Amino acid sequence: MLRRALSILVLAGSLQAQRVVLDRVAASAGQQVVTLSAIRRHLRILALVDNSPLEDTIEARRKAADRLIDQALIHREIELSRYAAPTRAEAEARIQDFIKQRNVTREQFEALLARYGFSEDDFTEEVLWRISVTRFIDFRFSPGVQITDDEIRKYYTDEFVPQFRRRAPDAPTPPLDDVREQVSQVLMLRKTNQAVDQWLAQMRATVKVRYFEPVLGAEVKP
Amino acid sequence: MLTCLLAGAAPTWGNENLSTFYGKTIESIRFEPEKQPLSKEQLALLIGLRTGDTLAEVPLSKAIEKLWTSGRYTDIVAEGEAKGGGVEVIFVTTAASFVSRVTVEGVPEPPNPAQLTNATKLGLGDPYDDSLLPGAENSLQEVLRSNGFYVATIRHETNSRPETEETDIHFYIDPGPRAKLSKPIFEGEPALSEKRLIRLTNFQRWYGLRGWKDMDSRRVQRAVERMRDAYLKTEHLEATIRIASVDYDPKSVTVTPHFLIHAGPSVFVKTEGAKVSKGQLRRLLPIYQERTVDRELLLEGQMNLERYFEAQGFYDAKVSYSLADPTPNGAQTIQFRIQKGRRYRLVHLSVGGNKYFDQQTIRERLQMIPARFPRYRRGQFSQSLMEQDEASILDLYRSNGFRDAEVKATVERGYKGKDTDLGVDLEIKEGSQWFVIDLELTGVDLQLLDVIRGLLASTPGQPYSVASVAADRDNVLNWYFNNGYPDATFDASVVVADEPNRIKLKYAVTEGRRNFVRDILVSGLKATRPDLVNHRLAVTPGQPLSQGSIVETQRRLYDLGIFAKVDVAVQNPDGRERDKYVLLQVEEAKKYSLNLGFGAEFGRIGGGSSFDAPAGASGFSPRGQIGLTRSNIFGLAHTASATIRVSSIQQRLLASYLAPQFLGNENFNLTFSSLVDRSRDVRTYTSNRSESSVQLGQKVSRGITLQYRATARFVFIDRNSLRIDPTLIPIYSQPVKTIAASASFIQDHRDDPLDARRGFYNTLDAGYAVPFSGTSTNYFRLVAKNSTYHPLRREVVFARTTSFGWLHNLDNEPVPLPENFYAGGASTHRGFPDNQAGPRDLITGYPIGGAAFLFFQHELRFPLVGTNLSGVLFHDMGNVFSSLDNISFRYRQRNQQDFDYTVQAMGLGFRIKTPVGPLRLDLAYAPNTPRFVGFAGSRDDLINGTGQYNVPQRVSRFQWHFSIGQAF
Repeated sequence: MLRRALSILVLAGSLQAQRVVLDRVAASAGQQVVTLSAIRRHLRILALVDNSPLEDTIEARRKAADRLIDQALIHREIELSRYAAPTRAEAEARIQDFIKQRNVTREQFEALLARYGFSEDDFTEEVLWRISVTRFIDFRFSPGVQITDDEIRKYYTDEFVPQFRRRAPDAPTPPLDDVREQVSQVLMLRKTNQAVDQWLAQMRATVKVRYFEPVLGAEVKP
Repeated sequence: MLTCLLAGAAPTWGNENLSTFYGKTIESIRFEPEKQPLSKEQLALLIGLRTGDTLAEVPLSKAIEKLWTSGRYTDIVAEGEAKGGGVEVIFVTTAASFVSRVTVEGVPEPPNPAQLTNATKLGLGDPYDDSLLPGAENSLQEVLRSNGFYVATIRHETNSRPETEETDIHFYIDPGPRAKLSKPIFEGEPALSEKRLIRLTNFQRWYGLRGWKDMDSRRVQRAVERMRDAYLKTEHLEATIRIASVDYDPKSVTVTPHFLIHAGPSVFVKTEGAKVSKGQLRRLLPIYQERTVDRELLLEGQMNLERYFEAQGFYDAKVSYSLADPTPNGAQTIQFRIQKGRRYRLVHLSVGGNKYFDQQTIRERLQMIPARFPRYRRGQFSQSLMEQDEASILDLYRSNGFRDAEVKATVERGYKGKDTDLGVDLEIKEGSQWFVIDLELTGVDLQLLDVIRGLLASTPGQPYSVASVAADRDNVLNWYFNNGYPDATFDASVVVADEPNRIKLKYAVTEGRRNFVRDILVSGLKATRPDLVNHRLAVTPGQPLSQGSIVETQRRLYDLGIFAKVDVAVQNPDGRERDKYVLLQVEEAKKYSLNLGFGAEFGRIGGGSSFDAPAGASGFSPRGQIGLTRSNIFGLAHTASATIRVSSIQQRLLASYLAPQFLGNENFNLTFSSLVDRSRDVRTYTSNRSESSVQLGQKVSRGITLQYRATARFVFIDRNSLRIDPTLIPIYSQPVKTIAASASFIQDHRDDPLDARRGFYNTLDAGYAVPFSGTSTNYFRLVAKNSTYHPLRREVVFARTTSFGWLHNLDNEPVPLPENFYAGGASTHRGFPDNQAGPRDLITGYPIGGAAFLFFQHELRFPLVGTNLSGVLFHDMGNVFSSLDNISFRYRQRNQQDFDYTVQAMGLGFRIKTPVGPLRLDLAYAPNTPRFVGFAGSRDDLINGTGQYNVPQRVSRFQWHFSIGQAF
């Protein structure tokens, strides 16, 4: 009798063990949600694009969750503002650039995607999304960014010249007029990023952001 | 690294993390717990996975995302379990809950309950979880502290209703003692003395004799405002006042506010070249409103001053300013130099070049007005008015398809050789009219196509305008929003067609999801019967969720008059679920209300205390009123009220019971009323009246109302008060018992009932005094009135009214005095004092009323000075007649016993516009007022036959009336 009961318990235990978590909510921002599988895909795509090793740690997941929440907020804004979606042809052009950059054949590229768990369609979707985000930032934030002469001069004096001298101590420092355009672009990028960060912070303040302990650990505070 | 990857040495990162269940067939899908907040159909629709599908990572992730967007879950885990050769997918969910009723109890006002509830930031229908409570309690503590409650403790209780996913949250507060204010501390550079500032705060009771007042946030805020005003008055217009801190002393339970004040320099504003009052300067110069001095504000002030003088006719006015160097103590002087120039009159305004619209259509849109007496002696003209008028005309043309229309205004100074006269010519170039040749509508469900097309104005053949397209957009989107499509969008694009002046329109609609009403959850009903509310819901379960219906529901409930607050919200507003709960939360108003009123009546209401003034005399009657109302009786929104009104000419007790929206129909109302009244509104006698009536009111349409009434009345006359021939007293002073049935028809099509400019107003009232046993009268009574209002030109109105009454006695006995018609006065015939028209007692001369009346009144209403004072020229004619047969238009009175003729009156009136209707003074002259004989002596003289008889009298030919509201 005891043996039978034990065997039932063991069997029940083994059956219980067969039930596994396939996916779950990992983080949310209002009506936007980030799933565990989305985080994993994001980590894989980063590893693929950056050509770096996959890092699936709690910390990496947290960072990925934050990035995905930002993306979700951008996605909501793109939907609401109805920005024009990029075409597949645009995405294909980028993919071709990627293949050239990696110096691989199309077949090798497909094999590479498969190793990271992606199909070509998955990758195209990712590229389309990245183009959408870039376009959104260009349309939404870049026009509002103004770079003044004072700022260019300040950057040149405080940052460009010291960095140039560190890198090439013997070379003559190029005059400001020669690098004005370059400095302007750097400042433009910096300011645009600041504007995006500021906007994202504002967006986050309008929704309740939650991180789910089973995926992202207990220490995380929004 | 790349080579390593490509050589196949790299690990297969993705696949390692994936469950072995991926790629297997989904054998079944189920949800844990079994009872879900969404229906099975909706769940299946949301997840998009089906039995037999191959389980894959992305679709499963999308399924979780879709479930999440419903807003009904706070956690979702997708689990897999081996089943057969495939996998069973189990969604383990945690259902969300939503805020329902939030109450805060235990705090004496201020703060009021609404302030506290709002402070919790727990919005009706918003997602709820326990983590919101600490924030809510912190906000409550903040509000409590700002109102002096520094040691308050807060306890909360939540009450969940899983069946509707609602959570009630109740906060119970023990506020502790309210702190008192103590002597405030003023830091910085206040410039004013501490004593003065303390006085300004008004924190002290009785100038400090009774200590300090209680702390409350409004009091502190008001103190800041008073100090600001004081600084402004002392020309410190840049003064800044800030509450730096508020120190609480728990021992003495007091708070000490610290005000940080920087008075700033004195700024003196002077004008040169024209006089502008200080008050006007404060209104015109934004440096006073903004409390700062900078170039932009000074320029704006300069412009405002120019406009101010322009509006007075100084169209060339130029204003400049200069800033003097500050004095050693920092005081600054701003000097505005004004060159008024000539004062002009706009004497000519012409509109030319218009073919499509007539002059009147254009002119009624213009704000420029040529000079005309008396209101616009210099006309109304300024540069900005001219620009506005140009824009108005342009709008009119463009909205009718004239895309290329142009309007050019030319100003001619010295019009027709007179230096100070101005002429303005508005020249219109209409251009061609553009028409819509084709309209393409896409994105609309085929079943809705006819409905949506019916909403469009820019259809082929119609003039094209941006305004029409915008109107189409509004109409279409409103329709969608009111039919459950919250995300509907509308895009319009315009293509110029090949044909000249033709446009092709493309409207693209995105309907988006459609929401339906799942159910309506009502809360907050205490005394009110749920059925009363349920019958007034314009939203119905299963129907599309309509914003219009929600607002309509709110309106209907407010109309009941028993709710202080009606909040309607959609539960889980952001959730993308199909069926939504509509939450209706009401707050019942207080059941009892007491109102007190004082006033006075003055006019020709005097006389009657002796026999000396049968035609009335100027009089004054103070009046007091107290009323108690009990609302929402039986929870049916019925109202009972009792009112006592006392004045020297009337004492009245009135009780009424009103059942609005009778039997659930908002077009019916039922009223029971009883009154006991002792009044002397007719000079002839003092009547004691007891009356009860029941009236059913029916609103037939927007302008038509019917009333059905049954009245029982008992009137007796105080014999000692009668001012008529004693031999007639037994006849006229008999107590009257009347039971009457009557019905009224009211047709009101006036644009403004308080001061109509156009439309008409008709009433017809027919009554029958029923000869029951015990009643003393039996008559038929008819009263009709017809008024019409005709706008002649801008702000000039001709109004006329005819009123007719007939009392047909069906009994052999004369109709007792109180049942007769009495008229004359401010609203019927201004040639008479109140109720002085018609037949009179042949001995004493007091009015005894008549059996018929006919009045005609005509008024020309016109503007006088400014926008608030207007004038009236009027003509009233008519009288109260002894019988229908004796109605006569005769001008002359045959003798002193003849009252059956038409009295004419004409006069002038003044109206001052007020929010409750125009304040009215009418001065009338009636050349043929009745002459009659009266009696001089006391009542005893009259009874004993002594005193002086046949004293010639006449109703004064000059009358004045003072009242509120137009005469008709």
